[in-house]
Formats: sequence, structure tokens, C-alpha cells
Amino acid sequence: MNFKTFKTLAAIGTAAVALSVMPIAVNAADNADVTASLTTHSSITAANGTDMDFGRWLVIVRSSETPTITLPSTSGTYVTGGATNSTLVPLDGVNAGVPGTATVTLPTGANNTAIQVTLDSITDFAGAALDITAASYSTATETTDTALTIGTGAIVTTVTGGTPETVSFGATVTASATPTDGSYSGALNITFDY
Amino acid sequence: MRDAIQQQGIQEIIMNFRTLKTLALLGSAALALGLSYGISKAADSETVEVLMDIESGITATAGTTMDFGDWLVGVHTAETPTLTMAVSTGNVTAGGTTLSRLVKLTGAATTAGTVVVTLPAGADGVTLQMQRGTVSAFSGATEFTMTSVTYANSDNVAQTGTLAAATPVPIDVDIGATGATVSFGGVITATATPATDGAHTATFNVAFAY
Repeated sequence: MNFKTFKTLAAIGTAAVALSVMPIAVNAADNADVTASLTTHSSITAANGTDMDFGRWLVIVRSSETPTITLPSTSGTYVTGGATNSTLVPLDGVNAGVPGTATVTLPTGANNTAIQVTLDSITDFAGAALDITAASYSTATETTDTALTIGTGAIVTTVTGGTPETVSFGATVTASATPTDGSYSGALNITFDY
Repeated sequence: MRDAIQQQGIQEIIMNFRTLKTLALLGSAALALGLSYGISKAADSETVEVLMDIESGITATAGTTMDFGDWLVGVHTAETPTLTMAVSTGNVTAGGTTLSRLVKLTGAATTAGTVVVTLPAGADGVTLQMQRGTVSAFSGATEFTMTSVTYANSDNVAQTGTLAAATPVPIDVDIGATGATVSFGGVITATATPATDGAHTATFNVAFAY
């Protein structure tokens, strides 16, 4: 009996020694998470600049004509048309026009980046025989006075991210009758996006 | 009477001898356990302990974050531009930008993601299986999806390519305890201009097993 007890104790002792020698925490598999990061700056900031000013005009429409006054986006020089029998006289001078402007700014670092400018709609002159019938634009990069079609985007290049890029706008006003004297205002509704 | 006394004495001597023998046997057994001495017996049994150390541990540790950098992301209607990170260099290139705009805003270097997988010292030249889970959505930017993940193993240049989800690929670990570095690249596809500027993160899990 004593021998058996001794033998059992010896075996337990050996097992205990064996367990203490064996390594702990064996992981036959492991895993890790990989993180992907991306920082974005996509904001476009647009601001009104200068109002488009056609100045003062003498407008007399005759013979069912529809004379036009066009102010290009690239200069203040008016161009008139369709006035065979009608009369269009710029009272402040032929170069007195002021193209409209807006600025658009992209995030710093987004240099020489082309985005889209879209003429969404035209808010016409109210209560007059005068309509804004066309619009155009130009920029420091897109230097040609280019027609804008409602709903169709056109390229605007922002030269320096973080610095407002000026976009100039022109328009054509068409007279369908001799208008009542007064001051008229309309609007070009513009969107900048990618 | 004298014979009886002699007989009792002989029996006591025999008893003492047996007791002594038992003690001697126990002592010998104890010595056998401690010193491996032989025991003079016609038969006996003993337990032979068998010891074996198992060191199968795989340790996977996330290293660098897969950093795509700082981008202007402008997505034109119906386009799905992409940012592709080369797993070998960590460089990111833009694609699919007919009218959309992907412009890297800073010169900060982009980096491939890494995970280091380590085996016990001495476990050289072992091939593991690597399997990836699904990629989570990008935080704050549902417009982005990681549409592809690529990998490359520092210990075997032939082990590189696309890492599809739930599809194990072999990864060699040349030197135990040193570990192999597995790099990750991938493709992010944008479906719209993100509504929120800022940092967006996504994660995927890679598991290593035998």
C-alpha cells in the first residue's frame, strides 16, 4: 500500500513537472485587421462676384424686329444686331458694359483642376419686352467667350486650389418691342460641380 | 519448550527480515525514480513519461495602415472613378476620370498596408494559408467601396496578386521568429462625390492558419 501510494505520488509529481515544462497559449491560427484610410476634400465654394451690367440704353423697336444687345464675357464692349429699322444706342458708351462674375474655389492643393459650370436656368426680366436669350462664359484658362446651354456643363479650370477662380459671364438681351423706361433685372442661375 | 522459544525467535527474525525487505524495496523504488537504479526483481512495471513541446503558435500583427492619402474627389454623374494602390510601392493612381476629378492634394507619401506573421523560432520554410474577410464600409463615405485587395509576401515574391474574400492563398514564412511581412494594396471605387469631407477608414481582416 505504501509503495503504491508512493508510486502514485511520484507519477503525479512527474505529471506536474511535465505540465510546467510545456508551453502555454498555443495559437495555431491568428489574424489581424488591416485598416485602409482615405482623406477627401471635395467641397466646391461658389460666390457671387460682380453683377452683369448692360448700362443704359435707348431702345426703339420697329417693323417687328427683334434687335439684340450682346455683352460678351470677355470685355465690356457691346455688340448689337438685328436693328435694321430699330434703334439701339448705348447711352454710356459702347464699352461701358460690365460682364458678370462669380468665383469658384476648390480645396488647397487642387491645382489646375477642371470642373463643370452649368447654366441651370435664366430668370428673365420681369414685365418688359426684353428677354435674356443667351449666356456665355470665360475664365483665365478658357479665354474664349463660349456659349452656355441650359443644362449642359462646360469646363472651368481652377488654376490654384484654395484661391478663388473668377468665371466671367456675358449674355444677350433681345427686345421684342419698345420697352417701358425703367430698370430691369434678371439672373443667370449657375451651378459648379464635378 | 526450548524448541518453542527457538521457533518463535526464528519467526521474529523472519518477520524482521520481511519488514526490512519491504523497506529495502521501497528504498530501491525511490532510488529507481530518482537515480534510475535497477531493481532486483523478477518483474515490475513503471510509467515512462513522454514529453513533447508543441509550438504551433502563429502571431499576426497589424503593421502600417493602408494610407491612400489626401484627395480631392469629384465624381461626375454616372462615372465610377478609382484610386488604385500598388501593393509593391504604395503609390496611388487615379483612373476612370473622364469628367470626374481625383486630385492628390498633398505630397505626403501613401503607404501600403502591412501585417507581419510570425512563427516560432526554428520553424523555417513553413507555408501558411492566408484568408481575408469582407471589407467594411468606409466611415462617413458610403460613396466609396474597396472593390479589390491585392497582396504581396516579402518572403516569396511569387506570392502576389489579388486577394479575394474567403479564398485562401499560400504565404511562405522563411524564418521562424523573424516573420514574413505581407503587404496589401487595393482599389477604391467612388460612385459619387462624398458628401462629407474628412478622413474615411475601412478595415478587413486577414487570418493565417496552417
